[in-house]
Amino acid sequence: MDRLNQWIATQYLEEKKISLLKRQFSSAKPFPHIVLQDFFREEKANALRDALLSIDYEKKESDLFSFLQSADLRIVKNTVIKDFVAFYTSTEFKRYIEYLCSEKGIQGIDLSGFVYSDTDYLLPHDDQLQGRKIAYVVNLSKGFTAKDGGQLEFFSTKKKGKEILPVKIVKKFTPSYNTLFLFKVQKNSFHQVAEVTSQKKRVSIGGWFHGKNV
Amino acid sequence: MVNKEMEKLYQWLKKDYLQQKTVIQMRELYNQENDSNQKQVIKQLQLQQFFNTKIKTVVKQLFCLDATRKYVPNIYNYSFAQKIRNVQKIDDKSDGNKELMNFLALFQSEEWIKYISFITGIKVVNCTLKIKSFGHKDYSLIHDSIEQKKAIIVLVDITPNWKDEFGGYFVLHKGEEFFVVPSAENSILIYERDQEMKSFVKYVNHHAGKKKKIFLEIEYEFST
Repeated sequence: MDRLNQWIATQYLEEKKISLLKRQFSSAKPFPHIVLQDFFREEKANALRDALLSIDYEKKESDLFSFLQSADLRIVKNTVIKDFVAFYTSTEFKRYIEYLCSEKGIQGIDLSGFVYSDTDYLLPHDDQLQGRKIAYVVNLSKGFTAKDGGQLEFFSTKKKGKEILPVKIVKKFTPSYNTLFLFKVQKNSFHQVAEVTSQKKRVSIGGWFHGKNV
Repeated sequence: MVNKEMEKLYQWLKKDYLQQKTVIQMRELYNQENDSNQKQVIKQLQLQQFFNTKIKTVVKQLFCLDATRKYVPNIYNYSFAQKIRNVQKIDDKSDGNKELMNFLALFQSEEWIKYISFITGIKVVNCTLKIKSFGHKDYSLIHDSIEQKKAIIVLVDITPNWKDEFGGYFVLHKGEEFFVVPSAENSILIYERDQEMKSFVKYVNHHAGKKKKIFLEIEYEFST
């Protein structure tokens, strides 16, 4: 519990609160998800953001996306990030996520830093790849409003034969400082990051909690 | 191969592209091998300043066409004017589209089909013509559900003042190789598509403002 106490804001360690969040996660539409604002202790969030802005990134471009991505944070030498990784990959935090998301047997975790700047985006996709159970975004962006873009957006879906297709955006989340997003990876978990349309930087850590076979 | 009976070609193409020497050179360029004496993975040829000044009227008419939106979020998002097997089916309510209809008829003409067949070395036959428009937030993605038949594709780019920093450019992908088609007003791209080849149009970002990129995509079936 020591690690959890060091990093997580007190309200998110209260038993009643966690039970409530667990129910909210499971019942959320269009697919299970939760948004945890002010999740980390303020000093930790501040230090983590500064650390993320100091490491190296590489431009990644394809049909589906345009953004800056760091190396796997597990190999980054920055001490603040190492400390964060130790916490985020700890058994205690995995058990916390398992309980919150009603998921069993979380093993591996992907961790990368992302910076979206003007015109960067990530188009609709469902994240489905073997082993991925829960997707997460630790958002550390400052000063974003709706007109800056960069929203995490969720789609409704419809069935077409055996396929499930996204239809339209039904939920939008403007980037908000010190917020942890968690959502279940499943056939209908279509989402995107809207294009950033200002000079602000959308700073985050993203990846997945994996089950077996990773 | 080129002679004065090919009226339709002379009506639309710049004279340079009708000189026998030039056409033979285009054929050689299209079929050239790479540095290791191997056939190119992506066979393509882009020709700049291809049409004569008549194209200006056509461009105006293309930008005025009614369009339908095609939106499947994980596959594509763009406007689509017409899918045409027979150019007579295009909406010809007004005389204002006459030049456009004549222009589109070029791509179904015997002369043009012979021209393309000569350059590519492949005998082609029926064609399907699509007019696609990409504005802000539009794109197309590589997707497994999109079936690709073997075909010769002619891509006609007519958009004035488009900058690739807006996105909206066409990308061919096969194996490890990517070919980014630079946007160029009044240009055509000829390429051979097979089942392994994928393509996409890069997301158009907000710097495009209200501008739209329009291109014609003409697909020619191989003659059996």
